[in-house]
Amino acid sequence: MILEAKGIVKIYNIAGTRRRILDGIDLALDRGDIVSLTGTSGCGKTTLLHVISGIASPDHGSVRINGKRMAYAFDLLASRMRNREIGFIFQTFRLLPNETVRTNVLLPARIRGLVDKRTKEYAEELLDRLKIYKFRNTKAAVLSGGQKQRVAIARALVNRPDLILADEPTANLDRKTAAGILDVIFDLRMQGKAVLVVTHDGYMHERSDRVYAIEDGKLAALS
Amino acid sequence: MIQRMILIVKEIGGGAFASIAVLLAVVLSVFALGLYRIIGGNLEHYIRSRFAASIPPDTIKVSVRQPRSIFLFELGRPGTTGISGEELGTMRRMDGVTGVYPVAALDVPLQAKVSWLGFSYQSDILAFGVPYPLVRRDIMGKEYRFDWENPARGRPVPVVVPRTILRSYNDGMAAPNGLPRISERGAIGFGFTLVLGKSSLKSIRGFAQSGAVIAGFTDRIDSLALFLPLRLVLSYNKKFNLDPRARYQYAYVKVRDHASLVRVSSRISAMGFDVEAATTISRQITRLIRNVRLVAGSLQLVVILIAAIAVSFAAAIATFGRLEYYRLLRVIGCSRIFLTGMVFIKYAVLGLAGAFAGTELLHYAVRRLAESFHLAGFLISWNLSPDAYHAAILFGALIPAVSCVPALLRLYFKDLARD
Repeated sequence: MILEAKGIVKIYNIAGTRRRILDGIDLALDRGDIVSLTGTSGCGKTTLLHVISGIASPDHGSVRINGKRMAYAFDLLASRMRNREIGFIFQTFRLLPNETVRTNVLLPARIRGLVDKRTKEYAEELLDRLKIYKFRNTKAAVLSGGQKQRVAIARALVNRPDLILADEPTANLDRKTAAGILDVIFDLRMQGKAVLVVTHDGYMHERSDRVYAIEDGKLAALS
Repeated sequence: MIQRMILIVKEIGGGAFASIAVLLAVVLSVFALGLYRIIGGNLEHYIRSRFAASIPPDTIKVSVRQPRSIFLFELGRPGTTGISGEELGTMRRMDGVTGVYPVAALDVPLQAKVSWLGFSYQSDILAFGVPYPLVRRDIMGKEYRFDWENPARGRPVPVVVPRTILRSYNDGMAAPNGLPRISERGAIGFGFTLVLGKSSLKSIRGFAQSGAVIAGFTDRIDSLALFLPLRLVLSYNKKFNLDPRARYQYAYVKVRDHASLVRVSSRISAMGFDVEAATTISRQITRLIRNVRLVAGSLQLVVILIAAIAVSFAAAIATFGRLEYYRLLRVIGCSRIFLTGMVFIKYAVLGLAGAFAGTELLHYAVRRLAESFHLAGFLISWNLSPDAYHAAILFGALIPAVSCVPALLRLYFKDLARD
């Protein structure tokens, strides 16, 4: 099991009232699983991703990735787990605009402290597979939206994580480009990755193994 | 490790515009603060060296407190019979005292005999023994100086004459008595005889005669007595008196500055002695220096405050401007410890560079000012103490580094990931 989240509860204080954004969520992803997560705005989709990745700590419940428990109290351990076990893909790409594609892709490896020949070759292989190899020395600022998202995907994969968390990866893209990105995400299944995607895209829902919606803090299976 | 060093180096160069703003803020702050401090210090030095030093007195005359008197006679003896060696020691140990020079009266009758071109004259006189440093500048000639410090039998006793006596003779005695006026220069080296232990009123058994020579004239001590080497006077007092302890009639206490003059005067007065010193002027000068220091200090404080605020704001804004990048680093696995360290190092390096550049700029500006600014003796020089220099470097590095904390706290506890 790559991801095992049990009884996740997250409470926020909103305008003086305590609100259970996540109310006892259980979620498990195995190797090759692609799971879509949907729901109304503010229902807690992104919060769930934050809890899974250790960015936010839950009020109750636990998260295990590859059998290792997320150590929320120890930032150093949580950060290391986030760096090595999880790849992040964002709606707004979040690239360094003044750096080259190659530098952007290698950033997680640099944080890990491991930019050896093998890592560099792997980064170039990823760029090649994602069809942006020719842009490897181009600054990220001049790329199109689709190209930027491909760079972001390469960055998410460079440390060879088993779990990919994608937060509305196609929301800022046109339909055709979005379809191309979704194809790339589905290709991750072939590499044995587990992917949890927050998305409202119907095409994505159709092709996912499972689709969940968060309603009143609880996880409801749509398909 | 190398990869992390690369990240730190990239961070130092990252956000170039904001980094330059922080650097410039530190440079200008250190420069402005240093300039204020240097000009303030120079102004104070100017007042001390030109103004205060050109207005002596830096000397306190200490004498035995005089008893009350009725008609012609004093009631009883003075509070003490003189200033003792222990009391001189106490004065020497006072903070701000640079020297204590005691003056002892010759306690035996004394006459001077003058024989010149067949003319012979003798008169009862008074004499004080004074230490060499007090009359050093008034003694003309090396041999007299040597004899003053090392009086020896068979050698004429060097004598320093108060100018008041010379003027009194020239203006009041010479013409009525048909005697020639005497010039200072001509009188130096004039020999006469001192009769120790004898006057027109009293003669002590065993009185002695000694050759003497005029070695100089002085205004330093206001008196109508001749001045002889202190050691000689003490030895004669010891020879003719029963009291073996040396007692001094006066002491001249030299002090470091006007502030010391005021302080030391009151302490000596508290010991039971009469004190003569122009403390009013010294008080005014001390107050002036204190006011200058207060104004300069207040301005420095304002500059420090403005500089600290400017640097803090620049660093805080620069950090806030980089939050998106830091947020990304956090999400992809950068720990708080590493991120905080990286940002601290960045601003400490910028602060250090700025502080060094600021002090270098200050050095240059002070040099240029010193070359071009000439105002009636007011000279600008580099007077920044090593402590002040180190403080500028330390705070130049610390303030920007600490100022990034609010932005980092916001990042860590408020909004780590937004999308």
